Amino acid sequence: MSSIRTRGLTKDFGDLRAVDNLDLDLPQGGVTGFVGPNGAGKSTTIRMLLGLIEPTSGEGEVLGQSITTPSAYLHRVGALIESPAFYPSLTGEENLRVFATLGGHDRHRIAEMLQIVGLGDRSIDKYKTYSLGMKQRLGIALALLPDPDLLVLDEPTNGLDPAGIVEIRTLLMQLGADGKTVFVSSHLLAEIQAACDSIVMIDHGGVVFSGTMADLLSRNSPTIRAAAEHESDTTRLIQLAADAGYHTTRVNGAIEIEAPGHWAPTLNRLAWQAGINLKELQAISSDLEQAFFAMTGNDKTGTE
Amino acid sequence: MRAFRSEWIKLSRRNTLLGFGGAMVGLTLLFTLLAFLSVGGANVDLDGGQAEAFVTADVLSLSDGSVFAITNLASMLGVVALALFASSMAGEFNKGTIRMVFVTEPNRLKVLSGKLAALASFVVVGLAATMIASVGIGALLAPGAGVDTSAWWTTDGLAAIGTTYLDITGAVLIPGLIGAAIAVLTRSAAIAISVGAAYFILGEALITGFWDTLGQWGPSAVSNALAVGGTGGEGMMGGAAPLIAYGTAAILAVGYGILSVAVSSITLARRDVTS
Repeated sequence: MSSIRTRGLTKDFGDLRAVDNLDLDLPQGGVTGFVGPNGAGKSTTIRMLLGLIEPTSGEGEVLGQSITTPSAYLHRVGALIESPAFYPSLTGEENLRVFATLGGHDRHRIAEMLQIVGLGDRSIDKYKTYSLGMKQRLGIALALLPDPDLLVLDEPTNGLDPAGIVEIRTLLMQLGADGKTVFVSSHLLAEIQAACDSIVMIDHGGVVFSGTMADLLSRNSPTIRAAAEHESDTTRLIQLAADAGYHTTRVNGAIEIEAPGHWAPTLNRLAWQAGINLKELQAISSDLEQAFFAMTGNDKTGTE
Repeated sequence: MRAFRSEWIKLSRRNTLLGFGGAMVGLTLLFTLLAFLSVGGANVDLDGGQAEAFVTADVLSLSDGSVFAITNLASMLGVVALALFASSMAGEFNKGTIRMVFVTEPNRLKVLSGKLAALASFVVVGLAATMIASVGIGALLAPGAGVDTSAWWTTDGLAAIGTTYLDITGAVLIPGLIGAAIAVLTRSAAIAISVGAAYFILGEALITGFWDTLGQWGPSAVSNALAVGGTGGEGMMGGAAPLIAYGTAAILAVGYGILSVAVSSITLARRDVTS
């Protein structure tokens, strides 16, 4: 059974179609990343799954329950939606107590969750004195409070320092390994790649990829980047690659060859035999960022 | 019940207790003090330049003299309640906490009913404290002001305290519930409080000047009529006597309460939480 399943999920805001016939199948257990460019529909999708927005059409299930009856499943879901929002004049502990009381959660877990996210020492300080990273940690503590089967986190590492990012990544991976399902959206593609077993990539409201991380990366061809010492040799270098059956692209005086990394020594030898001195030769392994730009057609560095 | 208890964690914080609770008690104590100083001969003029002072030792010595101050302040206490309800409801939207509230308790009507019940109970407790403080300070100041309080403690006097408490509670909850509805509609505490307070303090009175039938059913008129006991009562702050009978005011008050809660419920249940 999928932990999250949608079919034809669609949301219109007036004339704007924010989510367009979205079909999702999220496996149970493990960590799944959710990425897409700005305006791709990630936040709207998450809000529909959490019962905050009513879909225009389509259907969905979370933990086997229809999203039309969120009260049937939300007690088993922990969530952090966009930036954390709490009551500024209450302490961290009081804020969690407000939500634990509202949700009927075990209040004895509050201190434990605050310890887990590293706020044990600051739990009696008012929320308005917290740094962005501390606010984020409190948001994660709130998401963990119900001991959820499904954790939906939107930008959980936003505002955290590098040590904090590693800490939260380790926590999420541990939760996934323990059988919880973690659905995490993030701008930090390297973090998604490091933490996630599976990935859902959306663009213009629809899914462009859904599957394992390994599957996604294997689809994106590895490349070899090479540059001749004398630019006049570049054409001959391209010809060497073409003779071996590989496609090349000129990039700022160098060439990028769509070839596996293990062909780099062969190219080096062929170039030497042809009297071409190489000033650069590098095998570039495929990563999520490349896959993201390739699949969304977005060559800018920013993501949603 | 969970939403009620959760809301009380927020209401019991010092800022709210001192801000809204302090405003209710403080305003009433100030007015009580001024009223008793006025009849005591101090240079405090509460009659607004009228030929006949509306605060006299005789008035304060009546069986309902103990509740004179709080009765005349009912409309101001209503504005305090309006601000409390509106800031609490709209604050969830302003702070963005509404999305986590609805994820934690997806039944939005449970959230709304719990919040409104908690806010109403805060007002009920606040009014009780206000009334005790006002009557207590009045009793302490009475001998120096030449006010005879013996009638306050008779059966009629105690009954007046009880009925006034119930009437004022109803009178104060009307603007509170209307403030909550405006807050849910506008999602802005500033707009809800300014619009609501302006209407209850001045707006309805101005409109009634041009369209007098509003004085027979408008929410501010209903609230005031309920507070002073309908057409048989004195006008608030020495003003005109209400045009609405007590029974009619009670029925209209219930109607305004139901209407306000219905508007809040329908709006909250149907609206997408997008930001």
